[in-house]
Amino acid sequence: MVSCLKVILVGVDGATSWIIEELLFGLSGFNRLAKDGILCNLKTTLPPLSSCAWASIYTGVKPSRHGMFDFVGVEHDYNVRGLGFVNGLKFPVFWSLLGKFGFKSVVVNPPMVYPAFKVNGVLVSGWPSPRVSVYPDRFRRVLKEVGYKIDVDGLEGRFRKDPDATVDDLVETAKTRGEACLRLAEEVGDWNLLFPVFTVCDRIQHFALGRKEWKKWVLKAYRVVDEFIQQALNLLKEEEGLLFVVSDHGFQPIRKSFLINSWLVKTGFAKLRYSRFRSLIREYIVNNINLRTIYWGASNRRLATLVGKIGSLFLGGAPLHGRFSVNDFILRKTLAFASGTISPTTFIWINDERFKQFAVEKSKKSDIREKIVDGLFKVKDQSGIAIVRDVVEVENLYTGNGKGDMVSPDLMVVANDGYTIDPWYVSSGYVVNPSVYRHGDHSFEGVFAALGPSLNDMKNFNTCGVVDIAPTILSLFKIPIPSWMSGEPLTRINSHSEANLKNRLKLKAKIVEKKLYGC
Amino acid sequence: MSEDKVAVYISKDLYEEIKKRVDSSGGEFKSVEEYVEFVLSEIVKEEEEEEFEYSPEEEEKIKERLRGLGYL
Repeated sequence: MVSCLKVILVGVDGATSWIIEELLFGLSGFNRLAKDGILCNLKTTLPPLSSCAWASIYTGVKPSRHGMFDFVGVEHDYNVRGLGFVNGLKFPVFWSLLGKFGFKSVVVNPPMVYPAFKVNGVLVSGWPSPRVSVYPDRFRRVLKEVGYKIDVDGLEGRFRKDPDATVDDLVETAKTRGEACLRLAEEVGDWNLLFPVFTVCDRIQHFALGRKEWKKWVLKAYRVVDEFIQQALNLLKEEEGLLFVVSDHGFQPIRKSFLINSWLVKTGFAKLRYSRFRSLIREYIVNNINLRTIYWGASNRRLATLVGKIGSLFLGGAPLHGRFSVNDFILRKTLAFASGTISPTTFIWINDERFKQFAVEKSKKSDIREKIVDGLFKVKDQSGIAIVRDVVEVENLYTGNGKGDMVSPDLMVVANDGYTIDPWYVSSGYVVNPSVYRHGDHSFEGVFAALGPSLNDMKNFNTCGVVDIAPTILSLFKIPIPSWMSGEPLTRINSHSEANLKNRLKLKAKIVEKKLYGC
Repeated sequence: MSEDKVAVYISKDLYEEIKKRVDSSGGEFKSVEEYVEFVLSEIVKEEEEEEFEYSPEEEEKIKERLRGLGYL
């Protein structure tokens, strides 16, 4: 199919409207978007995690349907395992649908895509791929020539040692990503969709936000994306087309961390592997030597974990402070535990009959769940401010994406603004200062922007969400919106009336196929 | 009918329904036969997506990247 329509979708992990507005003085490209186009908030998914939100952006499907609720899940034997990549989802990504209708895409670094699969065009796998995977493999040469990298690894430690050098490294990595995307587009030639995803804003905001000099570092992140936007807009000068900027979630500064597993221990829902006697000694050490001060004051997670481990060598059992795993609980006496990504949302599993060493019988499950929910709403920080905004019952909602022996979580805990939830650390206190290196975390409002010759195709809208992106792109190419998509197109184009009959039938055939084979 | 084609019977009602669509397709389809062949061929097209399993090393590398960012 020959079409001169060009759509450039600039994915910017963690880009946030309020941060862009603060930095607008130094961002010419974003300034153009704000002045001549559309620049507004974009509602993300619940939970506001990259894995979950990018999956919704690609498929137009809500998290409860695509099942990618986190990066990791918990198996029957309490093993924490990756939930897999978008490749394993039941729903096709929008660039695959474009390909089926003859449109060519250049997609670079879409998070949670690995390995690169067959596309009409080029696909370079995205973070957190274990290695760079490219389809077709012959384009790997371009990546080598520009010195392409997936990401900068070990950021937490690196940012502590040398923040300026780490920021420069991240910016350089982002530059090569933009360069790779433009070079690939040039080689492919007659592309219809250009879709690079930049992760630099997310990375720098995690460590810079909330610190005095945050603007200095964060501006560098947005500038490198801004430069790409300006170059990309030039590609649309003579063409029919649109440039979009979308992010998977927003960002906010974090004041406190809620150590949810410590709270479960303190309230008796979970039990760590040490005796009452050891607990008394532990409490004495904590109260008198104040390990918490050492932990947070030392400004070093590894040191804190080491201190905790040394303590546990003398006292036996689980670490006193620092990193731990669900296996540090006495599972037969643990009614519930939390796991998942450190973020403003996390998940709780009731240790019921689905697990190997269960402690909760089916008949008592709802009672325990109710008590946990009640207790969570009462959790307050040292200033008396409630930490938990919402607790959502998600049993049977998130069942993983059909891989392995994943057990669906029972509750999703959502923190109020300014708080993050950390299920990976134990401490005598359960509301603590966040790590001095990670003062920024995700929020529910990302960014949506649009500009280009086809701007008139966009309709006026009050709100938009990540699930609207895939249908919007399909509608621009006059492809009917599949019935499985939860979102709505943000265009004026009536996809059903304007799409030609063959396109509509192709899509209907795909729906029939899906019904027949469940794919 | 050419030699590399076979006859398949469909109900008359369905035939009439498809014929109406062919007539209003503005020339996209020239006959009921072409319409039916198009729809069925779209349905039976083989997907070329492979099943993929991650090795334990890949799984560990993925977790390492998540830990490096302070996610786990």
